[in-house]
Amino acid sequence: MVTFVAQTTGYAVCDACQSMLVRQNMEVSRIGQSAALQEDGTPLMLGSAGAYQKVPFEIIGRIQVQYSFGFWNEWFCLYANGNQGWLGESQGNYFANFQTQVAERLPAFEDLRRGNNIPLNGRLFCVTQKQKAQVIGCEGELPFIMHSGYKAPLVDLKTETVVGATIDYSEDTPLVFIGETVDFDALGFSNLREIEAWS
Amino acid sequence: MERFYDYFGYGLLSLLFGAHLFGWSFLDKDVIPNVPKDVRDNPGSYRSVYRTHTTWWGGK
Amino acid sequence: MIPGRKPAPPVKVKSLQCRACGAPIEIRSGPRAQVIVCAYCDTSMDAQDPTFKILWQYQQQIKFEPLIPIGARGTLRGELLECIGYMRRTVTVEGIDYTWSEYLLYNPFKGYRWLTEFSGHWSFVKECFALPVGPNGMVGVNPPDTAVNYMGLSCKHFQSAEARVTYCIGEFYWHVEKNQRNRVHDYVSPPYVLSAEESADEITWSLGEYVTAKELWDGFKLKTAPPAAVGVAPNQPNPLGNSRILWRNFGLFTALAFLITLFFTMFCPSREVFSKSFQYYANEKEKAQVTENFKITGRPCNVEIDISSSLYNRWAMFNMALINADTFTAVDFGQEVSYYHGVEGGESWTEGDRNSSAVVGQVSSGTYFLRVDPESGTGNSPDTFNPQNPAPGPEVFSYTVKVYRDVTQWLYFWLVVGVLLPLPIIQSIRSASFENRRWMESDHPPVSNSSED
Repeated sequence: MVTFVAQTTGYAVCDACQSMLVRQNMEVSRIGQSAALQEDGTPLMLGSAGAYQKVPFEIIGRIQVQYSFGFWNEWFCLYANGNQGWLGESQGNYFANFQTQVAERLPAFEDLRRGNNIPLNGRLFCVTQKQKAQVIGCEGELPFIMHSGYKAPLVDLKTETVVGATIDYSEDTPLVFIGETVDFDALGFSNLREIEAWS
Repeated sequence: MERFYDYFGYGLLSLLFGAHLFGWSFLDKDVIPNVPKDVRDNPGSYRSVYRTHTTWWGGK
Repeated sequence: MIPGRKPAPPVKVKSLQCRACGAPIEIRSGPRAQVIVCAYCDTSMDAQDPTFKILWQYQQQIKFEPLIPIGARGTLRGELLECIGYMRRTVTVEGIDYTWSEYLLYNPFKGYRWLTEFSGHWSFVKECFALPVGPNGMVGVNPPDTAVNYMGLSCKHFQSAEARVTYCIGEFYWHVEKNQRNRVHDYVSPPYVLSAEESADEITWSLGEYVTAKELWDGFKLKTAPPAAVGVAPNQPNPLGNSRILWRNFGLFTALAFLITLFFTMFCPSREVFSKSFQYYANEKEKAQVTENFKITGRPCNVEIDISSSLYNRWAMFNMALINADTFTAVDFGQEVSYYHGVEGGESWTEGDRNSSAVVGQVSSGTYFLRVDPESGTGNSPDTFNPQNPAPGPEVFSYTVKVYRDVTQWLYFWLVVGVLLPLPIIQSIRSASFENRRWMESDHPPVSNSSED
């Protein structure tokens, strides 16, 4: 059984069989299979709740990705005010971000180098990492789906504050996600996963 | 250290104020009571302790 | 809350047996560990591999005991952290090896922290997620060797060097290897040290803050004795850094002393209460003279008696007494003047001061008169009366005695300034000496004036 919580998300992964499903109008169809996610020791799970900038959110989806340095999760968050956002989480670091339309025309993935400065909505961001990250799998409800094994071309950018960005070059039109690194305590989590020896 | 300097500074300023107000002086002086009443007529009847001050003698 | 969804299973503690020596090893960071190095046999294993296959076997290593044991948990700056890894890294600068220790601390919710230790000095380090700004903008590549600004903190370049791993045990979240080399750049703004570590893919920035061994030993409840801190650490706070505050306070006190003295100059102005001129005759039998009465008024404050003379090539000592006409109590004091002039080798010289003044303190108001008893001479002894020739002789010099009431002494202002000055100077010197020792070990040692061997 699959429950669609958000009004506008289009995709979901069945908990039981990991089937990837798409919802169009009132119809749900199967589009593929997600590989089983890997145990990465994350304290977050579907259903975990927190708050960012005083707006509560609940985690309803996840994309698990493998970088050269380990696992990275992009948790899909449904905010109490109806907004949808993401929480990048890896190795105890948390990056609250939102898909953002940018005014500028973005350079091609191949043309970017570490250290390049590019403006996003008028603000300069500096490229810090450029990788093809391997998608391991998805779970829960998502606004877009990524197939297991897909190598997503991703560019990480930072600024002189904790504001940062990720550009996903998977599609013809790159998707830009802008957000900031947030302390664990500031997110006020509840309903976290239990971690043995750390209760 | 800063606190000590603070107290020290304000203490010195109080001393400065007192010195100006009360007219304190470092002067090397002696208070002599009972000056002879005839000193006006006979200035020699009273000799200052500072007489034969020796500095001008080269200190010997 | 999604109805009917089971919560994800808990993250379980796993342990393994060392692939080489069989020793039991607890995996503290769980699935986040990439490399585990057995503390007993120094074998490193791939923690992501289901069989924990061996990566390296570091044999014949000298064993180093981490001062904070692996597995120890402690609270630092409000965070519960567990020590999971220990490594030692070395840089070689001008032929000399400098080795420091790094402790990897872990909290599954908050992530990783580090403790670095060098010569007994410790820093608590966290990864940075903002980029420092250098002379050419955000530093994404090529850390500069000047200064950078991190989130408003201005940090000066301390050292750039290539660091190599010389020892590692425990768990790490990247593929650490003995002899692995990274270029490291340190910038300091005591108590902070901003470090950049270059790897193939990226530059990782981290910010460390100087912490005392006491804070660590209390946080981890360690019973051992921490190592003594030797020398000055790059980010060690200057214990004498308060010299700036002292100088600010010195300025404040000087200004206040000036205002106080100025206040008295303006609101308690001095006034002349008596003036008289006298003549000095070398052969006068009784040189002492007594003046008329004069009134001294106002609060008990000072009385300044000034003498101006027309001395030439002689000295004069004025034994004075300020006598109260009502109580016939005297205040005895002396004043000296001298004045010499000559021409030598075409150059005219003068020596001495023809004028002098004396300040009598705390004089109550009343009626007073002065007794002046001068002694004067050209050489070592004063003029003496020659009874054979009793005429007083020609006037040798004249002098004028002026009495002033309530003269504000600016000398006291200068005395206060003079007494307050040494402390900030000493603190500045000591503070500068400390900074000198700090920067001696850096890439930018202070230039000394003397030549170096």
